[in-house]
Amino acid sequence: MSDRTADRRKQQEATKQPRGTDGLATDRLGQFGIGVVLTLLVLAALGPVVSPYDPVEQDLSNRLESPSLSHPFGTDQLGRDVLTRLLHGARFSLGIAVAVTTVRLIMGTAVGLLAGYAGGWIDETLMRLVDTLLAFPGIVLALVIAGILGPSLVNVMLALSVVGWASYARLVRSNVLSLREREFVSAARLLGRSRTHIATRHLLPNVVAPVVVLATLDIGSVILGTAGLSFLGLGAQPPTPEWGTMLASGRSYLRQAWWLVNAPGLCIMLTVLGFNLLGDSLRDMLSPTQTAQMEEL
Amino acid sequence: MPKHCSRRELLGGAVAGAAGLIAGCSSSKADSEDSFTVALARDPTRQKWDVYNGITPYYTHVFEPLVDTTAEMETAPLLATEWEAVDETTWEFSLRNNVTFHNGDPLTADAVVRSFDRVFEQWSWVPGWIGVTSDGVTAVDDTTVRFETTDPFPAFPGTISHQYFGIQHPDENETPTGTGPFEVDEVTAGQSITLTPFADYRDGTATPTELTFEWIKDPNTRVLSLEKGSVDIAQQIPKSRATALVEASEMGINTYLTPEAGLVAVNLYRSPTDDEQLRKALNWAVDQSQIVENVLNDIGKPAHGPISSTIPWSIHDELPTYGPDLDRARDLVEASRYDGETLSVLINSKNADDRTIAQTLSGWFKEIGVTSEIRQIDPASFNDRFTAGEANLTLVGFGSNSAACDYLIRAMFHSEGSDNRKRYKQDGTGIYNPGPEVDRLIEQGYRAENLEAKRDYYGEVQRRVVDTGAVIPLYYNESVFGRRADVSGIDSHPVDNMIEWSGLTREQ
Repeated sequence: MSDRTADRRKQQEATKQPRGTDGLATDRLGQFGIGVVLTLLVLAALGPVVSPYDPVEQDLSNRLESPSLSHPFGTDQLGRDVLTRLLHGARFSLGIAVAVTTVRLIMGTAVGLLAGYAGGWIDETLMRLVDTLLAFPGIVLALVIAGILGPSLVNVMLALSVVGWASYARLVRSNVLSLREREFVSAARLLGRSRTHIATRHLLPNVVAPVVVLATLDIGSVILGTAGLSFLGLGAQPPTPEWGTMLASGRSYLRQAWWLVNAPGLCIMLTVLGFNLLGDSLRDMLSPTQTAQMEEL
Repeated sequence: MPKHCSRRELLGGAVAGAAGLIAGCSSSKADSEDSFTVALARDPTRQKWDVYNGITPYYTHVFEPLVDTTAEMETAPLLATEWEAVDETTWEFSLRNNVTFHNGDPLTADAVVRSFDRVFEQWSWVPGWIGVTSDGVTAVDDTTVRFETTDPFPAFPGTISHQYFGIQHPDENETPTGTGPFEVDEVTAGQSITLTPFADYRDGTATPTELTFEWIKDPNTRVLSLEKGSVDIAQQIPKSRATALVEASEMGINTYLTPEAGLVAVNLYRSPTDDEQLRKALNWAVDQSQIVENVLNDIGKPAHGPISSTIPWSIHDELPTYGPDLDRARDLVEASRYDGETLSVLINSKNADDRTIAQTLSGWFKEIGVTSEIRQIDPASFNDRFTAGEANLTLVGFGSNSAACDYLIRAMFHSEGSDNRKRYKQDGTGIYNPGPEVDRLIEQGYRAENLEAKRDYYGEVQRRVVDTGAVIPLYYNESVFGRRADVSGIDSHPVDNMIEWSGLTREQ
């Protein structure tokens, strides 16, 4: 075995078995992130089931009640329990974030794989498209798209999906460019494997790890984007208990009922923080080269 | 040789610096007790106002129209002392004697003609709106102006009481120059206008020595500026914040019932609201008092009809009220053709109160078995979407900025009014125009020569609109001005653009 091959093996092993379990066991922030995300998932799954209140039904005789035992986060301007709405809102926010990130991930991976492996004019064309998309501030482009399509959660998901896949494409392409020169790919080619086979069986599995890490980090920004567009009236429509919509509705009562803005604001902050810490932790478990690549993105 | 500071000099410098810093950070209110700052929600120098040399004719009282609008929403002499209809389509206005512009030039009929022409040149839609041709304003002599209207239009004097027709000096290159109680001292584009009292004003000099109108777009920032004391008066205070201002000892509010009515325009030509039984059911489900009390913080008046009770020909007190009666509403839903379709409810995303009202309505509709879906539309495309008939229900608010409110009822309920015209021309329908009989009544009211006759015709329109459920009346709007507690003399007026500041004082 040549020295070069031996070095490469070591590098591959380092990628496959990074700091792994040890890293997570000592990474307090990572643990906090996982804790927050798991708590949110449990609350989103069970909260609405155990809550005694309806998130939409109004009770004008109980409007703007401050936090108490019966309403731990108070009631809003229509007498609805804020905690119940937050728990239902978690389903919306997490559901949308996962759905949008999945679409971004699939689109970006497909484009990056195609551009990196096919090369030539296909690569040029796709990368210029990616450059164009990356040149726009994502939220502004999403605003334009959501504005044209009209206000609805589905349109916000569409807008955020369209603007966010470019980073994935760039990451996957750069990985594929180095992978396609590797010996296992050359071997597969010499064995007469089809291009599709090589792309899906040899290249794709090797780019999954960094893409998953990027996706974890991306979920936070999707949650922020969804809340931002809903805050501007382009996303979820009242009375949907979405966190951004709740922020927008509560803004008028900021001085009168501080909990209407602070509660959803805190939820958004904690969720984004949780996913970012989880993403950072996952990233640290990967090789320094991949960490550097993602930081460039 | 370097000079060293003594400890005392250093301390003195620090104290002076701190004092300067505190002075710089403290309230920007002018030093004089008689100078006042008013925070406006919209830029008073925006491009639209180039026709008035860059300042808004609203609020500022730099310009005065020929005709005034009284607190009872009736006409009164201002720059014109009297007017008469020479024939069905000709009006002559006699100008007040001894009126001078701020630069000392006398007010003449030629100046009035030029002032109107200038508005017509910049805004080509205005002649059509007030019913004159673009060359229909002429000077008969030095003190008489003649207006030729295209059709008989008895409400013409009230129509030109709008502040769009404030008379300005013919010299377009001058700073904004009118005849009003205040003259322009300084204009900072995109920020503020500073005025001083016009010393030779015919009714005496205004009390404030300086009056500044400052643009503060965000309502919460306007309130914070008021709390901090950097402004003395703030316009368009959110109703949700009004209670807090009333409770704060150093602040207060003034509220005025306006000619604006908040209502739901019901699409008569879109299924399922094309069913009168369903429209009546929706009306029976709504509790106007609850909306005013809970959403508008008790600021406003529960509405019976589509026309505010401040307008002289409103028949608010004579209109029947629907309810609320949820059982009756459910019975009507049962009797209707409604089959579970979701009603679309359009709201303007800039109106926070509308968002809450729409949710309240949606809750009541759900209780009678009618489902609805709220859609917030950005202000730029809201009117287009509404007039295109995209929704079953649209939350709208209409008011008048002049003594003649005829255009309100025409815009809303005439088939060729601005809200219905688009669909009417497309397919003969509209939005909430009940049809040819109401069109005819509006046209008769438009031509009526006295208030009684006008009230008969327009009253019948209001009755039919309410009877057929073409609208769900919600509230008559009250405008809210916040003020520092020591400020008094804000002259109330139903049209908040017309509120006068000449008597502003600050209590010691």
